[in-house]
Amino acid sequence: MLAILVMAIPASAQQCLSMLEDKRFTLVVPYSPGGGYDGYARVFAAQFEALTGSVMRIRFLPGAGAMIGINAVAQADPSDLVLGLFNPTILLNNKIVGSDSPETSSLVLLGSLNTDTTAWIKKEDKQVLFDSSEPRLFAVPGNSDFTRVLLPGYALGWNINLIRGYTGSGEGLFAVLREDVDFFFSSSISMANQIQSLGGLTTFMTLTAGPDPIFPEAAYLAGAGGVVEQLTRELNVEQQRERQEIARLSVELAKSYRAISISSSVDSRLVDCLLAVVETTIFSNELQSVAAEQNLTLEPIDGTALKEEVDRAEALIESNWDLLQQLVARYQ
Amino acid sequence: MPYFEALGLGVAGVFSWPGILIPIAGTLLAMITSFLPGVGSTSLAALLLVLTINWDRESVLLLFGAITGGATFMGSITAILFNIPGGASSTPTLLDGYPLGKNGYARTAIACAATASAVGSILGVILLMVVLPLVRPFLLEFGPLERLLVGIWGLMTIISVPTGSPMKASLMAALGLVVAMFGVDPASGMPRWNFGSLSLSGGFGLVPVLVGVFTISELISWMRTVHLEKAIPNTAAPDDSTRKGIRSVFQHPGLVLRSSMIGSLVGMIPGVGGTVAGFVAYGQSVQTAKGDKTQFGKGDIRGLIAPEAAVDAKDGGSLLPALAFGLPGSEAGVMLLAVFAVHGIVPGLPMLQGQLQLTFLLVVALLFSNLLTSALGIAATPWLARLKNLRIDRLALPCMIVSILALLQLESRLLDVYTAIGFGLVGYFWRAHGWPRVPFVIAFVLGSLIETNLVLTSQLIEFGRIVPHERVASVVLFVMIFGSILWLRTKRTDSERSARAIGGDVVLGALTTLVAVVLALIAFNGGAAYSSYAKGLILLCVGLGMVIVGWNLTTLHRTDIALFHQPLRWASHLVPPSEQWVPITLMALLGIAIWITGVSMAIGLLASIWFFYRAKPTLFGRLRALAFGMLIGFGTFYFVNNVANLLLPDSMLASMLGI
Repeated sequence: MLAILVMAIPASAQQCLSMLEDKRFTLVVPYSPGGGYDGYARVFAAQFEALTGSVMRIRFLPGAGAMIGINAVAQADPSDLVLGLFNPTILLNNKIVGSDSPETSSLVLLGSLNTDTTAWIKKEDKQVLFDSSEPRLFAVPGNSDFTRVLLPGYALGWNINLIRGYTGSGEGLFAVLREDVDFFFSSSISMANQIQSLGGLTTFMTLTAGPDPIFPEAAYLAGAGGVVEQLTRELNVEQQRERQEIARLSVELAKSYRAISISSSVDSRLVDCLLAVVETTIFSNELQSVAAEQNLTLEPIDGTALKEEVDRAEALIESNWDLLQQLVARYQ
Repeated sequence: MPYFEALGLGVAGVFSWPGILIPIAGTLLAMITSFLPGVGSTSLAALLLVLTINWDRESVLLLFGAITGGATFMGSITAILFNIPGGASSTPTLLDGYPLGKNGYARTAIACAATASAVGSILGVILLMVVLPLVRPFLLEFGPLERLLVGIWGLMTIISVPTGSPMKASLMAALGLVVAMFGVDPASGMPRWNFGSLSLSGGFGLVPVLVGVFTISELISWMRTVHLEKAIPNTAAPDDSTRKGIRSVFQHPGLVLRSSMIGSLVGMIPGVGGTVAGFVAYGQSVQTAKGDKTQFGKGDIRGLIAPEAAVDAKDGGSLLPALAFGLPGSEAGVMLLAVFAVHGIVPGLPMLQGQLQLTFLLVVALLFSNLLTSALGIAATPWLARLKNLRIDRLALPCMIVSILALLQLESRLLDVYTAIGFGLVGYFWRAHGWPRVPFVIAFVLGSLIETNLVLTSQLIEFGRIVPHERVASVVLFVMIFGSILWLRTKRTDSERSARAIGGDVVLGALTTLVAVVLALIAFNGGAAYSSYAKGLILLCVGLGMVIVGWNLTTLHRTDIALFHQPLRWASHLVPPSEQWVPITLMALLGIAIWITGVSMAIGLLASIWFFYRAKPTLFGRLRALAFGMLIGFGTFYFVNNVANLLLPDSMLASMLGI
């Protein structure tokens, strides 16, 4: 199997396999074991080892909203060969709300195993109207509420209140089932599983610019036929444009990439080599079949394309910076 | 699938051949790992998750059910024999288990703990099977308000544990709640009491605090410069026997039943956990006991039965949120969900309907493992009791090194080691001067639960989503808390103490108050991250500290006027005995040495100095001591870099030298 994998690597990249052979890599996952990134880390590490002949240990470094692990990757000594598996849009979210975190330029994105979207969940038998002015209550875990709730909420023109302090997605969904809150939000893939497990819940809307492949029947936020378009028909053109712009930004920032990265202080030849090897690993049929066995959805993106996506989101932030800061000031 | 058909399939799955070898192997593995301080079943489960990735799902459930069940009881043995809990849930066993062992009843205590565990687990699983069809409405009833009240109830019961001074117990509980707040404010997500350290933003870990307060403080007291120390006296009481231990459980059927019910029900509530179950059961055993209650905390067998039954009964209950909703209600639940994810098992409604046989397979494997552990425990009681004959002064250093490496293995955080060393030193003084460590630890465990749910409850009440008096469970919990407070008011008395203890209390109280004042100043100048709850608690600590100092000074003035007029002698009461100076200094220096030289070199240095100090005063003896120390340093280096592959930050020395 290794021979087939090696043959799949371009000739230039084949040279770098000798550079990686017998090396000891560490893959940092800045979340607790057993979470949504755990399975991806294990299958990726096994495949990477098989391809390169290296050893890749997984270290879980949770805490401080993933910042402990992300800093460990960004500040790692280049000779330590530390890769990270996390969502780089966290850094953009932190930049908007002013939290301390490394710049995206301090990391080189090597590729992504999977891209997930965000879904808003409500109780199945609870009637919720899109165009009502009544206040809506959201259960909020972690620190990503600005980009996944308040920003899309602004695009919708909703009056949103947050109940902060939930410790995980299970708790948030329980709160919806108990009708303590009206909505909860989380990544679509994990929501699909949890909706099936818990029962009594449904997807209200996805933060996408078209039908979400996981919830194709659900309403979506941005773009033609999206909820924002329907709700802003009465507004003037300029207001419609601004709302759509914010909706599109919400969609970009609500994406969750399971991205592999390394500190940008690493030697550029090694980075080039890793870009090729990670690309081969994440697009390999072997990884696809192992992931399928473990019910993990793979939707790989190579490092270059991933960087373009993150850069596009960053450019959107820059062009809407003043408005975003006004919103941050209003909600905090 | 019909309920009893699924149960039958579950039983048949466990007792099939060669399938039964899997839970046996899992149980034995869990027993071995849980015997080591700081290494819990979670570490084992994480390792086995990878190794069993290609197994079929029935085999994996058999293994993980066995791991969950097998880990619980063994931690109690180290608690009984060495005053060191094998895991967080074994902490309540310290209260009466260790005194029983110390009084010459080691065999009785171990046999009693094994039997209570077995009976507790059977009752817990029976209750689990009964409530399985009703689990959904039950769990939905437990929202933030109810969890907050369970936390407060747990706290109340633990303050009622006999410790000598309810005032000190209250201060220690308040301190535990404050320490649990270090890191980040759950509502705003803003840093709080993290002193600019990113590592501390996640707060202190539970395992490092437990290892510090119980394990390291105990190991420091073992590391004496005098030789021939034994864990507990070698002389067993004439009536110490395995049979007596077993019989004692069946002599208290009501207590076992109540404790098992408490354990199972508390275990079912997501996020509350087994440690709380054990403490709550202990508290109720004190409150409901008939006859002589003066022996609680000094070796009352009832104080051992209650937590053991509850902690094993909670195993089944704690799996329920994971099985029924896909919620990780406990550490075991987290790993179980990972297993489910890897093997394509959908938790929640499918596990209660179409795949009910898988649920029963897991539950029966858990019960089997609990019973096997207890049976092995009872059979091995005479040999286990002999562990007390080990030379603890020789065991101390290896145990210390294993504990530190186990901590690093958890999350590769040096902060965990510093935390354990810091709390180890503080815990040593608390232990030496009778400041109860258990209220501190249980409050630390409950602190996050209480604060998070207080924050949620207050927001939900503000938005009119919770009306407390309309919720049945919350009304029942209110009544139980009120009952505990009434019990506290009527039953607690302070005990007689010597003037020396009073002098030590004055100094410890003053130091505690000083620390609390500093934290209060930070809180009142720290902005929104410091909620009214945080400010209120730290002020409570200041107030209780001042009351303790004032009360003890008054008592001192009344009982020993000569000592009262010599404040310097009060401080001398804190000074440890001379044979402990070296180990205490070494432990304090270990933290600094790790920062300067890194873990491996620091441990090598510690070992070298300790062996050197205790070696025979000959050249060969000294050289051999240094060689041993270096060997341990190299062994640690190999473990850190080649076995565990820990991702540790560079030491100061390595950064300066650029290596």
